[in-house]
Amino acid sequence: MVRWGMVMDLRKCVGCQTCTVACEVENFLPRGVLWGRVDDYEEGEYPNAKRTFLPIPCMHCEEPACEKVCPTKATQKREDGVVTIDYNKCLGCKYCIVACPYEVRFYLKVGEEKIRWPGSPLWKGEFRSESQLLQKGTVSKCTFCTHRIDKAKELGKIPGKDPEVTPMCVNSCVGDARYFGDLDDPNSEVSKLASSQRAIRLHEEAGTKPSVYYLL
Amino acid sequence: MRKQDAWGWEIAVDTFLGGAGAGLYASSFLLGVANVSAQEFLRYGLLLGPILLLVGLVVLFAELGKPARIIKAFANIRSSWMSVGGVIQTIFIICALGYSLPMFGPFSWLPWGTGVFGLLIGTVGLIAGILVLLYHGFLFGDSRGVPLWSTPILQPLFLFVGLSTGLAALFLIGYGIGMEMLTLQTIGNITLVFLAGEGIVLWAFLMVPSRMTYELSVMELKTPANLGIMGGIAIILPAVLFATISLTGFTAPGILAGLLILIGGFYLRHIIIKAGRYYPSRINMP
Repeated sequence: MVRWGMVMDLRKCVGCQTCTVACEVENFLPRGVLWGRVDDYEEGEYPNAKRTFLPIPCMHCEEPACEKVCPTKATQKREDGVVTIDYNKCLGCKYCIVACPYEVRFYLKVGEEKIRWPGSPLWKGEFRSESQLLQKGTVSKCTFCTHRIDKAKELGKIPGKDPEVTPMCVNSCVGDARYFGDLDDPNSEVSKLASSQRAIRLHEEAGTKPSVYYLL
Repeated sequence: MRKQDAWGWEIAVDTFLGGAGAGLYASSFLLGVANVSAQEFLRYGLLLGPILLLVGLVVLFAELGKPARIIKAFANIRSSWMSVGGVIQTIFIICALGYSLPMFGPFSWLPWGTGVFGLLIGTVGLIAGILVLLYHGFLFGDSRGVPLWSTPILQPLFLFVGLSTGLAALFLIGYGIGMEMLTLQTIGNITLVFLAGEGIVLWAFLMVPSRMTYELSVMELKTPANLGIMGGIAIILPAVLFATISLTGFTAPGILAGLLILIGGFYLRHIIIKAGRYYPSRINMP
């Protein structure tokens, strides 16, 4: 069984935020909604100060805290490990926002016109099914670009290798710091990187088992 | 370590009214069972309890992004405390109203009346009411993104706060409608016990060391102003006033004590929600 995951090499990330912008453009996100972000922080003091860039998308956890708390079952984990939200079911209670240890869920306050403006592909529903179209008053988050990876079979391509079926943040990374692929395939690049000694996951103590790994 | 801004005052109002309502019903029911002669007065508490909870739910609906989908909130009772809470609160409202309404003239025609079946409904309402008091703690406890809330201490804290605010409301109602002094004194004495419990649990909540974000949030809770309101105004001063009633038999100070407990009960929930901070997302590079 496929289990999609991502690995990010923090030594390669330069904090340019290209992935952040690429995600916004790809998913037609309204202003202020960042499905992926790159945190930028300093550690230590001069002359031993260090600056770290930490890209944070949805972790698509194996045991998602958001899925557990969702009262309407709008948040679901698919068989391939991707955690999705059915916007037709979301109540907008924001329980998932306070349950997620990674602060990657966003409540959409803006009106439909700001999300699906006339002429945009989302307006016409070209790229997404109806349940995947953003709605005011619901919570949204990174989808690992399911609209891209789901086309892999049809196109006979491999997510993580072929750009057409790979998440946009991975395609756009200028430092080549992001890797995407099947974590359950022992021969995939991501599973090899994820099992390396440099690999860690964010907030292991939360017990959510993220599918996003960081290389130190 | 950004402050959480997903949940605001609406949740504080909902949990406060829900806790006070369930506490009011539970205390009225138990006092009524122990002292049947006071039932004439206690019926107002029995009726007001579920109404308070309903008002809280209305406020909560206003906060939802898609309130029209509320019926879907019952879909995940196997793992979501919000769904479980929805079921518990529904049972509480139905049973508490079912038990209390026949005690009032216009509804005395209800077939189950105040007999054995009515008492059975009322008992189910009592159990549901106590579960409502516990539910708020579980609801916050599953919020793993906010370490301040993700603690089992909130369950007993909200239980005690709910019961003390419920009793305070009952005292105010009783005083207003001329309940006999002995019953008012009893209510005051029981409130004293729950205030003591609330004080101990609040102390534990603020003192138990934990992760950094928790400590930052707790530091915010421990400012002199917040400690003064949560500890002094909401617990110590009402306790002194109720102790005075117990010793002197003069019940008037109970009005101030009751009001302070209600204000403090709301403030406690509000400040706990407001002080919540998200997990810090940091990785220390080697």
